[in-house]
Amino acid sequence: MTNLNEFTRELQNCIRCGNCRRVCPVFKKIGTEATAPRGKVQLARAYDDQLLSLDEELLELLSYCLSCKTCVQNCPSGVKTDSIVEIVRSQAVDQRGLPFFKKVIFRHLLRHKSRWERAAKLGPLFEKLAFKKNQEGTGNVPRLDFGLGKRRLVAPLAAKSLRETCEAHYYPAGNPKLKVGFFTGCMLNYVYSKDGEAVIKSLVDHGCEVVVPKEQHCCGTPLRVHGDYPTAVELAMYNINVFSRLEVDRIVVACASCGLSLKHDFKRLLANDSKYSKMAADLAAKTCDYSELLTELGMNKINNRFKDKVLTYHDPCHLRFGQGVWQEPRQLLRQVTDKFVELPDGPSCCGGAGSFSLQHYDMSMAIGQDKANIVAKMSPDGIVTSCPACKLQLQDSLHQRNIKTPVYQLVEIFTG
Amino acid sequence: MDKKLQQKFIEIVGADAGIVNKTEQMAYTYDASYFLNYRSQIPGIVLCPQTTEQVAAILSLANEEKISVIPRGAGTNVCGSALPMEGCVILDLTKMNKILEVDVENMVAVVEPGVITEDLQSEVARYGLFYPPDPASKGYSTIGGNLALGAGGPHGLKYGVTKDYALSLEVVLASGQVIKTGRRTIKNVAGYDLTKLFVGSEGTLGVITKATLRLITKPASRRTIMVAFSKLEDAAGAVTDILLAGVTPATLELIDQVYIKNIEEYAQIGLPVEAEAILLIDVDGDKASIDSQSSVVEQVCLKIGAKEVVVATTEEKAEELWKARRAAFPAMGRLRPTVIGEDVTVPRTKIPQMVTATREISREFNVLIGVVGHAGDGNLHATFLCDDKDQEEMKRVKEAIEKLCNTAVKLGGTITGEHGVGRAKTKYLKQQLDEDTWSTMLAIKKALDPNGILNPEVIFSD
Repeated sequence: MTNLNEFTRELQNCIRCGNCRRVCPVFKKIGTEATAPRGKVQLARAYDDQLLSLDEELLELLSYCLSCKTCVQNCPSGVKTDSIVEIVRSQAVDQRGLPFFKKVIFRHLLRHKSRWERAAKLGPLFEKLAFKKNQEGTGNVPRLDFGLGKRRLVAPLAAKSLRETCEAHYYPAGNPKLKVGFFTGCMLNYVYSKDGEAVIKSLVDHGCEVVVPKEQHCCGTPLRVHGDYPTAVELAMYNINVFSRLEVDRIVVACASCGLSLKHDFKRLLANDSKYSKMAADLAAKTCDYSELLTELGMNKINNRFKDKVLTYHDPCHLRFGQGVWQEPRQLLRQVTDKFVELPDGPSCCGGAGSFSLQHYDMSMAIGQDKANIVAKMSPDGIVTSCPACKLQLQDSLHQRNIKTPVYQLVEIFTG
Repeated sequence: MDKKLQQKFIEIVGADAGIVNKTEQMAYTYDASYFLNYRSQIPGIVLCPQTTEQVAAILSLANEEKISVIPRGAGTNVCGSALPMEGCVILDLTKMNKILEVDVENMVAVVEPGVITEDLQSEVARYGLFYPPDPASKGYSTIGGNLALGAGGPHGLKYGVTKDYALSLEVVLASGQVIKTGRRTIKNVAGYDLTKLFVGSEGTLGVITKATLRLITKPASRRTIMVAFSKLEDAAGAVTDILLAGVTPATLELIDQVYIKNIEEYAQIGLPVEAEAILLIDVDGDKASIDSQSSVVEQVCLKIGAKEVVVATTEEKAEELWKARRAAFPAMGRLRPTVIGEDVTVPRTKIPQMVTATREISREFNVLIGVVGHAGDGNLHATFLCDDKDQEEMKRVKEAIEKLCNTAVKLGGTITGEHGVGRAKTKYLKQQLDEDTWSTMLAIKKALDPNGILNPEVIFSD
């Protein structure tokens, strides 16, 4: 839904029952109606009905949304709160432009792939200046408090990005079962490159021919969520062009937000484009999460490393609520260990929500602490997830409480 | 509201507990009713007190300055009882949310008004205790709101409603005086029963700041039975027959086809979408009792011509059915943008007539009506599905509702069983109450709130 008529109609679906107050992670922390999903939808409706103007106050209130879709999942009317919030933000960008900092990052850097990659190459260099390894050696902490919060644990940038070091084309031993394109996404490319390498290796070991187009670029989620639809559309078209040239059977992702973009948001952004709406639909139909693909292929070699380990699984919101994928990771994990246990209280957002954790670090941490409390009580041997952004947030959340439980990307359990 | 007065109010609760920002205040200009036209009533200030003393100081000041005060919990009422007046104080009580005490041996809980009903139920369940009132909103509505509106729910038939569980209340009056009604004991007749007066008073007589609630022993377990009928009238008839056969189920809910189809679209749990009506029946107690009750229920339903009887085999499946039932009303938002849930209640034996009359009204006025509700206690929610942007349709809906209320009153029933009068039903109150009865109510209102600051426009229209 990017069309304004659809927006008005979607707003009417909310009959203000209040069910969402029960489940919204942000509302649970702040507790005032304006931060509940119902509040956000009704504020958006008041704006659409011209009772409110699109000003700083409205945008500030709407910034308290994780886009986690927990509310959408639980709404009896199926109101798409996260899309509503995003559309209001996009209206703000249309009417008022982007704030300076975001303009630089989205329009001057991210939008221009070569510029972005040059800037990204400098990343590890600056990182050594600004960060140092923490005591346990599990990540980096800021040397000085320059806005990120001195206690924040960040995963180090890879010295060289995944796409700089990996091959463009991998062949399995024997006849390929499937030809697969790998959409790496930024987190696996620049941060958890080892996990990205593991995905490639895992798929090759399972008989896939894997293509990693070097020209691919960011899926655009951070800038789409902040309302920069024009750039998000450009990135969508760009990536669609790159992957549609490939002639692959599947496009695999190992990041929940990239997966959601490819399966859902590219289609949504390009719904009104006669050429790209079809291409986006074709791309979406081929896109699968690593856990879906491994399930389809059938795990061939069970890694004994985790046989007797108590493992639990954290559902990334964009994978479970956004794509409806939650059974495959569990089925795979149950093959590897007898001691798989569910997190009590069901799926809940880690609080990371990508750039939300930059804008509202304290809130992000407060939500993350709920997860840390649960892990502390359970004391599993490991917590597994299918999203590098969740992995980052979980590591930071556990680090705050000195909890040693390792956080694994799903692929790590099946490789190495 | 002028800045000086705002400042005085803020001094009572602290700057963090006052909202003066117009955008954030917009979130307090609606509740779960269909009224959207109160969004242009700009509140003077929203206050989130933490203590009874703060509430008393707020009311005292408001009374002095003759400012309206709108008490509010989660704002999930459907009758329009938490809507703003221009320049008012909105009293958000959700931050007063502590369970102060669970007295296990005396089976009593003492709570602040902002406690969420389901949270109380979970807490007392840990001790083997049970707080039965279960409005569909219990997952997110507050005890204070439940008390103020006299909330009901499916357990009403066997266990009673909110007013049957309130033993004692702490109430702040319009003057700022703090009074205590009732006692912790189950029996108490010392003076007038003020507890029963304030329960259901919809914030017009005082603000509840503490409640002592009666608890009972939690039943050993429950069994959920779903019965499908090909005729709505059969389902309605089965309701009386089950009770006459000597079984009082914990719940006896009726869901009609309009609702069944829509709930199934939302919940996808395999409801029989071809049935004209289903009954959702919980029997509870120990195993022997559950077995004999469900056997009777099954026999009675089959005798009257039920299509099928399905027993939920696990607690998860039972809870799945109940979650779908509780989401029934809001899920109607999928069908049409405006959902008006009526709440007329008739003596149980009149249910078949009421159901027939509802269908006739739907045909006569050409409005879409779904029926769901607590058939066991005669409280059926005829739900009008419409679009408030269609003036012509809304005119027909209004006439249909008027006829519905009229019919219920003629059958010896009431225009509202549990939702409350709010603003939605002020115009029908005199269909049901004769002049003297209504005047008595108004006299009480004037005695307790002479300046008329507490929730004006609610219950009484000018």
